[in-house]
Amino acid sequence: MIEVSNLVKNFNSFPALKGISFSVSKGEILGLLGPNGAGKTTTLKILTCLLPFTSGTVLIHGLSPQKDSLKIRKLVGVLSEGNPLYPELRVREFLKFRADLKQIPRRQIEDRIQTVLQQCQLKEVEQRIIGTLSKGFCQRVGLADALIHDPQILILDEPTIGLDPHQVRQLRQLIRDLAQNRTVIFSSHILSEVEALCSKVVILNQGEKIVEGVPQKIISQHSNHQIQMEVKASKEAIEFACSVLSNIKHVSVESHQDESWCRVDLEVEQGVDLREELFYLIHQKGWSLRELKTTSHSLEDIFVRLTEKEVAPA
Amino acid sequence: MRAFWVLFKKELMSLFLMPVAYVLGFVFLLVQGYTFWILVAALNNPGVQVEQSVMQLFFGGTFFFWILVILLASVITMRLFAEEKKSGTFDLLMSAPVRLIELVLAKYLAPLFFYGMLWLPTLCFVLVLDHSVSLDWGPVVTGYLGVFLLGALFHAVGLFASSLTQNQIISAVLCFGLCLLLFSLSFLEFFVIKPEWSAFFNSVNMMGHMDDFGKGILDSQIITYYLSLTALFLFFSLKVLKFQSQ
Repeated sequence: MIEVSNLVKNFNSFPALKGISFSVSKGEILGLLGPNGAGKTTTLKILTCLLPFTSGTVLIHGLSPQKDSLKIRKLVGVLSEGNPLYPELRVREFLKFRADLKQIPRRQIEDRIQTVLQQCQLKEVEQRIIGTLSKGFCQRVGLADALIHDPQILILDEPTIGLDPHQVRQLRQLIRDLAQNRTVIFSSHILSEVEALCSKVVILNQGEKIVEGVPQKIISQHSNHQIQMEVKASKEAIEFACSVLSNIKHVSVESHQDESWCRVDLEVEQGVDLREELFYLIHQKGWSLRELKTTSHSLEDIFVRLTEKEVAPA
Repeated sequence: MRAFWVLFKKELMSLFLMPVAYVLGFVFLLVQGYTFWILVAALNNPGVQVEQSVMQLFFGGTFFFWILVILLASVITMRLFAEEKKSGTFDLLMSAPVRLIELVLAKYLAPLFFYGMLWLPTLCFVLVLDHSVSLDWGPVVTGYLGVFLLGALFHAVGLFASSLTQNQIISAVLCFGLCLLLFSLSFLEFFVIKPEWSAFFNSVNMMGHMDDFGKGILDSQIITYYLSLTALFLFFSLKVLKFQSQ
């Protein structure tokens, strides 16, 4: 269980985090999203005790990073941004070094190395020098390091960078499996991945939390439902017919080049489906219809919409 | 304590995996052997009138000694923190349950151990000398103690320089400059007229200290000077690293 409330971090006079709050329970996967400079890495560094914070409260399994830093670091497994490794070491040597450093009892080290080599599919490269491995393998070595001490909390910064689509799927499944009895926080720029994997999402922008919740709920709360159709009628007639319908927020009609067909985009009220009503209206008017469908926003659309306002032009 | 040993072993292993360490070791022993040969040859010459013994001159009495010790400390320590910070592995280390003091001590003691190992083969020179003449082992032991204390201080300076930057070259140059500055205090007493200042500069005269060690003199004031300066630079390194992670 991780609880963050009113977390503030100032770098001299620059406020990197302006009082963010969120919580993650055991078994949950939290996706931390935000544009560059939003405060994601700062938040993750605070949670991994690598950075002190200015004010607020952070509790990790009831422990505070200020007082119980060593205990927290035993509970947390981290895959850092950029995945720093020692290129001169062999994979097995590196994992042995990390297991020793994380103070795993000596008798269990070999078992843990075998387990993570298997989990991260590194068996075939265990004797290879890290500097000679591909980016995908390096990413898996970083993940194996994060898992070596069987941590209760996993913090993963961009874990799927450099992996091929098969490996991405395997990693997603691994994270799902691991999350069953752990708390997982990960940041990613691949929003479809966050949508597919996370049970909870926090979107940060310029050091502030702008959204928190279940991805599907965020999508339904922040997306305007839209209906698209193609109708054979005049632009003016369509605009007039739509204007008398209720529950419509916005209508946009565009004529095709041949001017006989029009493309209509309707923005409707939350939870309203006007497709049946529209079909009868078109039928009643004697117009022809060749397309009628609803469209919904993805998490990526919402992310862009919520964060683009704040981005200053270059 | 376990973290310290793990980091110490890792650091020592990294040193032995560095080709530059072998080059350094080779050059160090070559120059030391050459210095020793010149000293023995020169002192065997009846025309040369020198009051000091071979071992006294071997420990700090030549230009080669000082340049080697300063250069060695600068090159061995330049990568300690600079490389870790540049490659991001400093955060990797600190994400494990490791105290900063354990990391600093491991990073400091591993290259110092390596430095000690480089000096170990020079015992052969002493044994050769002992075979030919009856040697007083007291000054030899204190001489090696002086070499170790000097190395301890210069390595602490190197660690401090490495904690300040991500660039290994800057770290080496900074360490070289600071060590040279500390060494140059040896000459300041020649320029001081006031006797009270002269006493102070005499107490920080590294060449004088090494001369005393070579004579077999063990002065607690000198030992305290080296140990306290070493502790000060280690403390500065710790503070710099703490400040950088704010």
